[in-house]
Amino acid sequence: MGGSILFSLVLAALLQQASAAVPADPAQVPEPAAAQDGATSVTTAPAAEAPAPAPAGLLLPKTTPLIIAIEKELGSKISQTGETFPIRLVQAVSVDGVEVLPAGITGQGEVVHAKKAGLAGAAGELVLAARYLDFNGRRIELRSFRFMEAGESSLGKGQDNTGVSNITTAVAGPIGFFIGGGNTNVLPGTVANAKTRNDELFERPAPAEAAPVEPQIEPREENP
Amino acid sequence: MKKLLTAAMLAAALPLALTTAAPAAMAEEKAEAELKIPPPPPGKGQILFYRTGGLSGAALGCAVFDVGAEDKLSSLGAGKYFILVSDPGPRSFTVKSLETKDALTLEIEEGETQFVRCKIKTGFMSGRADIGPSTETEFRTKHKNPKMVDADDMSEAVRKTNYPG
Repeated sequence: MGGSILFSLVLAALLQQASAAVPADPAQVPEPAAAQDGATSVTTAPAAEAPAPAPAGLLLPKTTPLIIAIEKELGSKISQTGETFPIRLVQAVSVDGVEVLPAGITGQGEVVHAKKAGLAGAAGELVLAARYLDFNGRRIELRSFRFMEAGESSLGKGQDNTGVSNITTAVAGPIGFFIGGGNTNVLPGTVANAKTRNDELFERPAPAEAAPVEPQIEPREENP
Repeated sequence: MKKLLTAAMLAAALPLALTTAAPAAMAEEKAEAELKIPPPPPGKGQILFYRTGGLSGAALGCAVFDVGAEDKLSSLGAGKYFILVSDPGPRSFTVKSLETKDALTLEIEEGETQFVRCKIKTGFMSGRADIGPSTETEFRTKHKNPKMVDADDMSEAVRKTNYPG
């Protein structure tokens, strides 16, 4: 009994040694650490070496989602294609816990397409684009403007009465043609989504240093 | 009198039978109809043009053009759709009918799919094609059984992306 246990233990130890020495499959040969880790090898350096330098800045990657608000009344009836409108960043954006874009900074959007509601139930249309946010004179370009939808409804389109118009025409004749569609209105403060267009690099704030101690000068006593 | 009673009982039982049988059939149909929209190629955006089914204007096509172009991109019959792959940026489209034409400009974004719906609305002499911005929610809700436009009803460029190979 004891002999068989001893034999199994020795066999297991031998097998472990053999597998560590000769890999069964050349494809599974572990690569050198440098090749495996690539650029991130700096972070896995032994603690004895000098500490890794902090990255040059804070990277806000492109297509980061933002929440913005429209700061002007717009509508399929009142807006014109090409018209610009002010926008505001609603939620601050942080990278690695550092706020890089504060809430409240402003920027600009553009009306890409506006069409009034028409006869035969045609709905008014409004297509908007977010162009940029202005951060201390620097333009943060934006893309992918989307109204925050609630179910099926979207502020990009007014009430569509095409179906009503068609049915009325079928039942009551040409009178259905005179049924109009609804316009869409976007009130100031309406919240929407947008994304950053490009990678944006921000300076990493310097670590807080101890306030310099001013030398204390003792007042001299003037000799009479 | 007995026949009348039997008929009445059958009539009462029929809706129940239909409601119990219908969900399974509908679920099967829904699974078949669920359209998977492929993402646009790298560096491109895309627009899905669609037209819901229905009797009004069913005989009319909704031909979609680039503004200023003479050759149509494709023509939407009732219940059909097609996908247009495009470079990012603003792009304007128009639909033409006998009485009038309608236009729409969109901002196409890299890696994103936008939706445009075509409708045939009432006209004096014939139906009028009308295009407007739409959403994926509206497309999924109102277009229950979408079918791709036939290949011979597309321009060469549109056919290549909708019927690859």
